[in-house]
Amino acid sequence: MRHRQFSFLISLAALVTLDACASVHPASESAAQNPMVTVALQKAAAGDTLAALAILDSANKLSPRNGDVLYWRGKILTSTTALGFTDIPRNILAWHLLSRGAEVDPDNPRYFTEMGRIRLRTPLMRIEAERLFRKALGVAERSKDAKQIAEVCFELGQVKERRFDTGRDRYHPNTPGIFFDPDQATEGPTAPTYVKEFLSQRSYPIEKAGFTDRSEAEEYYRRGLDALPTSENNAMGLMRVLYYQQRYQEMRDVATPLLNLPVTTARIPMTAALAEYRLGRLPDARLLFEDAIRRMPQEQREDELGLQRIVRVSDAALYTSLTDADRARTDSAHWEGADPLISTPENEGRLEFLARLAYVDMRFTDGDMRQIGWHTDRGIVVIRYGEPPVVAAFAASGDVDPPDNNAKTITVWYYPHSKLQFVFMGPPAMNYATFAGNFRGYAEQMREDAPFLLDNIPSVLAIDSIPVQVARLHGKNSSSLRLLVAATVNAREMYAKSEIDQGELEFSLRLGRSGYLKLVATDTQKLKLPATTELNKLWIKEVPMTDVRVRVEARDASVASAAGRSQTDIAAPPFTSSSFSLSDIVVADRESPSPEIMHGFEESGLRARGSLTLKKRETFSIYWESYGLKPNADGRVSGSVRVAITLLEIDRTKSSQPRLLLGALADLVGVTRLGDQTLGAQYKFSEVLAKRDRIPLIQQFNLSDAPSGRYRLEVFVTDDVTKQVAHTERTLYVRD
Amino acid sequence: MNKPLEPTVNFAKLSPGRLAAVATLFYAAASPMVEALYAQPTGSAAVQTVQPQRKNSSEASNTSKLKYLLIGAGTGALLATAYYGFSNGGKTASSCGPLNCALPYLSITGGLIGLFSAKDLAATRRAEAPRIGASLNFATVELPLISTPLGLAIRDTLIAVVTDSGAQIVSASGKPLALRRRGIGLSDLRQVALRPSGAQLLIGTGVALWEGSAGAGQLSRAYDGPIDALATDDIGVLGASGSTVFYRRGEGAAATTDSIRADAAVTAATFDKTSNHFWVASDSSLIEVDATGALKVIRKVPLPAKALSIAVSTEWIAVAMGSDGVAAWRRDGMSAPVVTPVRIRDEPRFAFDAAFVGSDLYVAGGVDGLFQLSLSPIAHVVGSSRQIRYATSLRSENGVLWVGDRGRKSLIRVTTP
Repeated sequence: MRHRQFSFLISLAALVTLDACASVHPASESAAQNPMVTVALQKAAAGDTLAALAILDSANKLSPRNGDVLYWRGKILTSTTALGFTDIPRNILAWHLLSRGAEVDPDNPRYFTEMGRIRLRTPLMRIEAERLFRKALGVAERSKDAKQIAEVCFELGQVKERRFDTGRDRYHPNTPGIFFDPDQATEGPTAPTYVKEFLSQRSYPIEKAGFTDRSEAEEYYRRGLDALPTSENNAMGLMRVLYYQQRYQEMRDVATPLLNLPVTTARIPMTAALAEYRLGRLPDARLLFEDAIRRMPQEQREDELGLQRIVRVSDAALYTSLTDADRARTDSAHWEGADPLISTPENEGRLEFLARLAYVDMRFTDGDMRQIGWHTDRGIVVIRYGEPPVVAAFAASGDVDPPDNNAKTITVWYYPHSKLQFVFMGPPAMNYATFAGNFRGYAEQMREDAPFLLDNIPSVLAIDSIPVQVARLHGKNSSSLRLLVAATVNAREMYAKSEIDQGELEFSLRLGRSGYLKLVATDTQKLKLPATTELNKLWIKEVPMTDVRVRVEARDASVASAAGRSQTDIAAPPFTSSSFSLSDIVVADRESPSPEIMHGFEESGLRARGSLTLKKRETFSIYWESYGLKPNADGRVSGSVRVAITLLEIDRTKSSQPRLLLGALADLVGVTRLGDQTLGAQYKFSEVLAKRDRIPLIQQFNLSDAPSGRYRLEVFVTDDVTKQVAHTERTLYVRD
Repeated sequence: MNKPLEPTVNFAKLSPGRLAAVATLFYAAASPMVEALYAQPTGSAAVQTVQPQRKNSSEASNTSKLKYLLIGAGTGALLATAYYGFSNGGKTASSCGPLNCALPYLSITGGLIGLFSAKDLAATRRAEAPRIGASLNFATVELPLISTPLGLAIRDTLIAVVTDSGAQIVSASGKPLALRRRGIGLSDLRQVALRPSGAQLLIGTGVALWEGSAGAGQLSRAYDGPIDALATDDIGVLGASGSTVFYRRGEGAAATTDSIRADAAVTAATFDKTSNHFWVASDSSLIEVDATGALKVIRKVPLPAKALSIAVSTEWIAVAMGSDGVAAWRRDGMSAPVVTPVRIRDEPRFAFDAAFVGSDLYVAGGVDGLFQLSLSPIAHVVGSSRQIRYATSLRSENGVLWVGDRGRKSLIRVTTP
């Protein structure tokens, strides 16, 4: 509500200020403005419309035939009214004043324009409004007033565009008497499939619906731009109409002349960036988005670009309470995580978010309705889930409950990939719609489940597609950590659908705090295709002893499917230089024998696995390092090792329903091995310390007929000298 | 006793609700008509400005409105007369009598429906008609494609259509057939070309140039770098990557590549059979390049805007420049010190691609369809066809046009007159 009042006051003040500066008609330029009008406009610009109206009332009594007085009194009166019947007396007075103005100043189109706006706000009078605008256009063209021509063309374009908006995406039920019921889409057993079934089986799309109105809207906007090439309103209107038809190149050209003007608001570069984004020219889109963000007032920047709408409610409350610096850090970490591939030149996740904002601003921001695109119900859904792939509009129906929904258009949005569905209702031709029925609650629930989806970006498929194993080992000193990162890239799958003879796979490793990742390793591997093997990569890097984010990416820029990534957040281990402790377990395969005295993983003769999923009966090795073992008098360290394996969860994804049920019952009564801890190995060791700060140990395993599932592998080491016990563990998976 | 005939509407017998409805509808419908009659120059100006060749469209539209209004009103009156007959001269009628209620009610309603239908039909006709020139109707054959067409290449009996899901190889016959899909899996596809030697296919992407057989097998990387333009002659392929123009002779490991730098990023290229040279276009100039020996620039002509494509005929060189329309140069006048092109700016509103058939220039005009332009004696738009929903790419071969339609995701064979 506060936003509405705020935006209304801003728009009124802006309207008064701008219009007062520029609406002096050539014919009346010589006549100085009535000083009372000047004072009234200053009051109105300051937000005191009551005082402004009182002054104009007095001025009107003193000079009843002064066009300026009549116009401004009428205009300010109409600016304070809303759509509906409640403001009719006020509108009648304004109408009377403007009619008088048109009589005394017949060569000025502004009176007819304002009268048309009054009619637009009066229900059932849209045709009359259009007539008045056309009349105003005639007067403006006779008097060659470019600004007025542009203004009236914009109004006429909007009338046509809204009519098009009501008619587009129109569906019609197959059978008379059937109507789309929003409640059925949220309640009952058929709710999840109701929208899909209704659109595919019980209704059909109407071809070319709204085509004529769209075409006329385009002509009016173009005419407005021809008259005044800097008219932002007409440019925005035209770009909107072009966007509906995917005419992105033309859209971009419309924006070009306005981009270099200092008075251009953020909307133009934002919409131009949207066009570039749709054309796939991401670097150009980014530059334009940056330009738009620079042009935004600080308040708008925080409101529009903040994460509060795309996180869960509880996180939003936390986010808004952050300091500016913390919020910037959170933003940075969020967008780093949302970037499907950092190794591409652009952050596709953030660009998609900005494109969605540009779309909702272009599409739903409406001065007449005093609505800001990203505050509307439809706008918020687009920001969270993207532009709806399927849109269906149903004509107003008297059959929909409750009665106040009568005569409202129903708009259905369906997202086939995520199966999300939203239904909105709003009056026809008003660019206004809110959630229908229980959809507000549904949207809130969806927000908790999935507050922000980027599933419409192709590269998002790369997320979590590379299995990676990260192990924390002691660093050179107590303040550093050796991070072992092993990745397995399935090149066969990546290039499976490509018809080229050679691939160039670029691997990269980034490490750092979340939001501040740094590239620490990169290399390109040429592959002869078709690829037959998996590729294994290993990096061992020294990093500071803090929490660290590990990001591994693999990408062949030439092949759409050859992209993968993994991102893991690792907590700093509780290592201390003096106490007895163990490193993380490294799951590996034996490649060559290890020497008698090992200094680290590099000498172990093992190949670390990226994937922690083992095939049944597969032999594997585990490697870990012990720190802080006390040597005995002979300079040797010794201790005992116990390895325990626990089945945490049985994988029954391939089981039939009855077997699933029986399996669950068996787990419950303890018949299965679920939860059993099995002794994997137990032995003693004794080694010469040989000036080493760590004792690497290796053990080979085969889980034999262990069932598919999730396992915990634990290693307990007891120091013979101190009798202290240290423990480390790793989760493994076994699959058929 | 017969009731006296009442020639006017007996408003006293209409309920207030009906009266209000009739009055509102009548006012709403009559206002534009009254306005049209009294303010003819104003009302028609909108149409005249953008449709200079349909000067009498308003007049025609008003005649049509009157015609439909009368048809509607007449139908209403007929229905009322029938009602009069069925109600036994009104004796068995309900409270709404046939003459004092049904006749005016149905006539006005019918008239209004007729008027609105006329307005709607006129608006649709206006929206569908070309803004300039005649409405053309071509013989077309459509072939659905796998995805949105981005570019076309023709060589002998084969057409390669590059889409965002690979290249579709099509037979260039009277009834085009989709033969196979090539370049599957490649990302950021941009350009396509065909070479005669063994029907070699070249695909330019945002990363590299790929070459291979148009029939089957794997494609090999032929040139590293984003490919912004591509054209072939009988010997090699000319491509552009940024401002670098390269010419690659031969295939595979035996191929040799020569390159030169253009003054700006190159946006289009084509081979000119008449001169045996290539033309490449950048943001600011049209350049003639000789690739018969070492790659060299023959001439440079300043361009009025960024070119999206180049078309050549025996007489003309033309470029499509998006929102800046079309520019064309007479071949024999290009060696003059000052060369002024023939320009057509206003239509189509966005020129995506161009191709010559004889001396006529055809332009892919996006949603405005396919345009036919005549360049001499005075350059003008002959007409356009909206049979193609979203025409963006265009090639001609043996008097036949091949058009990529983004709207329908199809390739359309157009037989020109």
